[in-house]
Amino acid sequence: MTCNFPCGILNATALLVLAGLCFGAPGELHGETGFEEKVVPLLAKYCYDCHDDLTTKGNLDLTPFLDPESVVKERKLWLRVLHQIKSQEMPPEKPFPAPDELATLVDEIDRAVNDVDWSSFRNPGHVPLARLSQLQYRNSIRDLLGIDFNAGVTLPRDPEGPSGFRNDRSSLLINGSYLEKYYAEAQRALDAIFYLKENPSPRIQTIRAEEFKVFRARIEKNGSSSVLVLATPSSTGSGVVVLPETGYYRITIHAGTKPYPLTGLNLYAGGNEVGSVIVEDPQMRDYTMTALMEKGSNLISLRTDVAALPLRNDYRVEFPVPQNYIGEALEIAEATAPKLKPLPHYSPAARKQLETANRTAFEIFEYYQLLKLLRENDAVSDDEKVRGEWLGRRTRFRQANMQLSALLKVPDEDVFARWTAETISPGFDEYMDFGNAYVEEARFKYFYKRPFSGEVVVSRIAFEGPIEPEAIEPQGLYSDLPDPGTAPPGDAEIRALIRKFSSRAFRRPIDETQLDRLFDFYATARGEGAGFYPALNDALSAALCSPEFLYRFDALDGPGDEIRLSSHQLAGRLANFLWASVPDAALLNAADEDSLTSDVGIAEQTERMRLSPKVRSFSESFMSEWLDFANLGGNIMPNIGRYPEFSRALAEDMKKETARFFEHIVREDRSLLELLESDYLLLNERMANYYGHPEPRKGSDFAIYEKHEDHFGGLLGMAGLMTATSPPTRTSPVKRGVWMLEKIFGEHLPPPPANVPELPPGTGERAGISLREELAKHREQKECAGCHDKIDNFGFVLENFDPIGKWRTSTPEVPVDSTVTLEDGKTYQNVVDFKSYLLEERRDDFLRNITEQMLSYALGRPLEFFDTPVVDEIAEQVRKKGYRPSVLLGEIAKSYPFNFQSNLPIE
Amino acid sequence: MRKSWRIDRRTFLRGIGSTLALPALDIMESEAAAASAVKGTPPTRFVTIFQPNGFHSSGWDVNGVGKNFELSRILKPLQPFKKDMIVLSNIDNPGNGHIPNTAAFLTAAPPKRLPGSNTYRAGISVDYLLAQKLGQETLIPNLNLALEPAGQGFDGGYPRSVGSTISWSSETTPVIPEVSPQVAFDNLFRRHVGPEAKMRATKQKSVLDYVRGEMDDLNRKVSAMDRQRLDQYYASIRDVEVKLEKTLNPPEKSWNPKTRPDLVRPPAGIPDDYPEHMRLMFEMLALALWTDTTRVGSLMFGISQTTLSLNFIPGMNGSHHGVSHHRNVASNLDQYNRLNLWFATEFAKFIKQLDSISEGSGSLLDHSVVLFGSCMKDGNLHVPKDIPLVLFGKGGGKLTTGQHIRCKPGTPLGSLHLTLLDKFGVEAESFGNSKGLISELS
Repeated sequence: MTCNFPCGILNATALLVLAGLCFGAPGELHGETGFEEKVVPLLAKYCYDCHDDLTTKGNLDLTPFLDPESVVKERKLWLRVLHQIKSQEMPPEKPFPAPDELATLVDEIDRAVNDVDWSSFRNPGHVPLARLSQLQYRNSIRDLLGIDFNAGVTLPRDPEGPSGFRNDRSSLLINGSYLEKYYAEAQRALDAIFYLKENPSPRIQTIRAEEFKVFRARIEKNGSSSVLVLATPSSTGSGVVVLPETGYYRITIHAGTKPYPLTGLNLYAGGNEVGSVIVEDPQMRDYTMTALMEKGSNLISLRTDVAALPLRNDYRVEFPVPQNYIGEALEIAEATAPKLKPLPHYSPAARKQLETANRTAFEIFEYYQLLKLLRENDAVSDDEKVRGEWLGRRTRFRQANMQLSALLKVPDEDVFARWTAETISPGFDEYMDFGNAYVEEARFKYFYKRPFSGEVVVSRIAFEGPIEPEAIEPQGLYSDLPDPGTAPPGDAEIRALIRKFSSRAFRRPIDETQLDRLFDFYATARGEGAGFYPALNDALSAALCSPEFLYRFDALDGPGDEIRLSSHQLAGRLANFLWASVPDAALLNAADEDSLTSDVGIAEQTERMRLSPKVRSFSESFMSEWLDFANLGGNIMPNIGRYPEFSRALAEDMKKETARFFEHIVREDRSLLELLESDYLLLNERMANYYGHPEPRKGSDFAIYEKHEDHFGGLLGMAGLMTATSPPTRTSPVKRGVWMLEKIFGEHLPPPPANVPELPPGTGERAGISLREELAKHREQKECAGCHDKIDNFGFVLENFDPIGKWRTSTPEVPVDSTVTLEDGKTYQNVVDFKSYLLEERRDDFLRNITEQMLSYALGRPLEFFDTPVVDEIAEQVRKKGYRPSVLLGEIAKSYPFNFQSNLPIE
Repeated sequence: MRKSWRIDRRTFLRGIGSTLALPALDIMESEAAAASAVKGTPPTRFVTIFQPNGFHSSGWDVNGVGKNFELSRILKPLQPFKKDMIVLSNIDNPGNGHIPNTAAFLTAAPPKRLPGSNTYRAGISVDYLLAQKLGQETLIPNLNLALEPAGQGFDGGYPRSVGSTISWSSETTPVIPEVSPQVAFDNLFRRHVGPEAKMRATKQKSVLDYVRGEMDDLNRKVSAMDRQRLDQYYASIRDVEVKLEKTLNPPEKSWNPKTRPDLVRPPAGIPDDYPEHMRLMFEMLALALWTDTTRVGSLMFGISQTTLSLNFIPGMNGSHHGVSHHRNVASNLDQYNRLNLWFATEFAKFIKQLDSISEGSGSLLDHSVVLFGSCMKDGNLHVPKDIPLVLFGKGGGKLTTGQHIRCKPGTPLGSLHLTLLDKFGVEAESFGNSKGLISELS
């Protein structure tokens, strides 16, 4: 390469550098002398003791790195090494390098990682052949057919790939039971579409109250009809409804509430929650919802929903029973407690046992009196001790009588029957029922911290459908299908329909022989006497089982070291990236016109697609997998006993808050830095209430809200993220610190040493010290301090967020100390000024990280060292143009790895 | 007189689904079972029941060797079947760590990543080797079930998906088990039996032919590297073809079950209630074996490590995995043993179910070999030595039960697998980390 530098003017050091650049051949960075001669011996002297292949401290073995090229290939690692040497963190103890040795190390390593001629490593990377991910499959079927049937729900869940995303292509294979499942899935969705078209008038199926089977609930007769009465949280009424076809159904529940005016009701179909309503009216009326249901028998369950009821934080946890009540109850019991007399045939042993039984009956009766007093004086005690005492006495009563019946050699029933028969009214049934109801109510309040839910009364539940759902994709099969009543369309029309459907499914124009094969299915079925709907069903099922639909053949073989993707292949990639689906008509047209291989063409489509509501799938999957909160509400749940206000519905809204916020930024082209700090929030009614917003608006949709407290705004104030980074009963500054470093800054931490146990529950609380102080003790150990000095501060600054993301200034034991001092020596009080640190000092680290993550998501593979210049260039463009998502998405779509595939064998 | 104060003895919630029989409108009767009983000896079945997080010695270890041994606290629920069990000790797992240990449970080989790819090799698992022989007459060669879906992300350098199964159908194909009871049921009974199923199978076959044709065309256009990735796809096509063939032309069977169960289709989805989920899956296994729809099966209580929390067990206060790292604190150890006692109690119900199914000359249990245990001993340190293993059932006379066999210390796990293969008449010179048999079992 020619040297254009005016060498004569520059000083000696620059000359050395330039000499390396000018005279090194492509592939060589600079003279081997730099790294091999100077750095390697220094590494051997100061580093190899701990970082060789035997003692791989921190999982690091430096011995294989003998030339600059090897360093470039592990650039991220060496950037860390450089940082640690520069800041003199490493080596951690004597001997330390002399000043000139330190300078050499820093200079040479800096050169090796930064003065790189990337053109010698130019490589677009290789993505393996992959099937559609579960999300892409679902959306593709939705867009092809026109209605979302949650297709693919029976497929195994996609694993996360090495890139951290579920659309990582290396993990997306077809094996085992997939083929059969794809066939069944295609049938299910197509049957549903054809049925809906053929049966526009929905049928109604009703389950009446008397048909329900109950568990801890009851059916009451109300004149000629009956009602299902649901009371305590686990009381359930179940029934079966047989539906004609898979599809959307309008579900109407005729219900009322008594005695409290507000009760929640959950509807489950086959074990999955289908919907919930708040029953507000004592008058019976209709409550409706719409849901996707399956063909055939559906097991329906109705259950009261605790989570729908408002929390009452004024319930006292410890309420000792007043002494005078105890005395009064004792007096009454001594005067009137029931007793059984021994019968003539009782043996001496039986008589003795009867005395014991009488004593336990006395205790029952005494406690019954006590509870009555509490209830009459409206002093319902939710003291766990009261409940425990009642249950203990009840057990002793039972056991004493069971022992008696054993001695008498009669069934238990006979002895219990005596108590019922021989005690004067109200009798033992009443004592037991009263006591049980009392403690049940107390337990409910104590545990759930909500008013006792009262009762929901349901008279019937009706299913009307299948109906057209609200959302129908206009370009789908449903709109294209000729009406069933008309004469069957001619072959040409059918061919055109199949061609359109499968070209979109295969992401490229189908060729004639392929079309012939699909048309064959139609023709054969018609030949056997089938109507044109079933025949078409056969042809389209086959298309949906074709490997060209299920696999992404967007990087076929070709001559040369790298392959340029065609417009159609790019259309497929772009649609999978931005919509996790198949291209729409406009994108396919652009591909047909071959405009996507030009920067202008692909940028235009990207911009158009960015504005579509279909980016919702992209924002949901990208955010939940990048920031690692997809499992919130599933595997990750706070302890409900400690945090009764948490629920699955709340978890879903928390996840949506983060995803919708990002979606808003993308579609409105706001600055990506708003992820770090924003002056507005995106909330719905539930989240607004959760955050204590002064003006919550009704409804479950998300809308812009003005920020009401400084600690909100950006990702860090979001409850979903704070909850997803906490164990069930406490916060974990370590977990949050790791999350911040890895997810926000994009740093890579080595894994912790094997067999480091979890902190036991109650850590910190028992010793009466804060979690922070406890962790400080651990950091006193050198092996731990190495990593924890970096990690813990980023978690402590978030300590004001409790395990369910609520703001707190103290824990029950100690005040929260969220002041942290970072490596640069500056101190930050809490997340509010920490966010200014992020915006001022770390914005470009964040930008670089989100660029890498998004590029990785778009490509479906982890990034390699040769992607570095691509990331640099994209990040630079985005930085220059206001940190806008339109720029980021456009640059990714135009980028080298997105448009090319390497054809070289992988080492 | 209302006796509402008679306290229900149940200590935890029983889901309503189990007590509600759904109309069997869509269920076709098993043709094979409807045919007149054919003479022949009942086939021997092989079932694996797997618990991922180990058992502690204090709760698991039995007293005494040979025929005179006492059951431990955890194994006590299996007292009625003491005469049908063989407790094994001193068998070591070659893996080290949650995921390698789990993968080695039936392969006797910790998984290794193939260079330059994301594929791992552990070898074919013993249940799939057996299924190659035992599965020839049955519709399903091997029924793999689990109570937890495949894990996400990575742990200890391995992808969690590799630790989400114990069954490998080829050297490099981990088989992700089915988690949904209804899907399992449909695959066993709805899709492949009866005239409607035959019609569907014919259609599916023509789709399969079409699909294969398309794939052959595309195969020529992809790079050599990608062609390798399609190997598993082709293998799946072959597997489905075999199954369809069995539906269209049911194979000659040497034996048919004498009795037929009621087939009740479970509700869709994955039950929220873990005990109910376990009950349903045990039922699937029992039904599949009873109807001779399969002769090999497995159930995993959880994937390796597992995030499942078992708070419905009285006295439990944490996740399964969390509690297994008890750090030798007495209260944690107590919880660890308690949850394992619960597992053993539920497992005992399954054994009882198998024992209650009569097959003429004996029960289904008598004609089975059921392997129960875990891939590690004490979960606290993931101890891979002396892993907890018990065999149940006489295996059609192949096993002498009612004993505790203390093998030579350091006996490799592969020896157990080799011995099982030998018992079932499957030839193998070596398996995983062993070339020898466990002589005491022979």
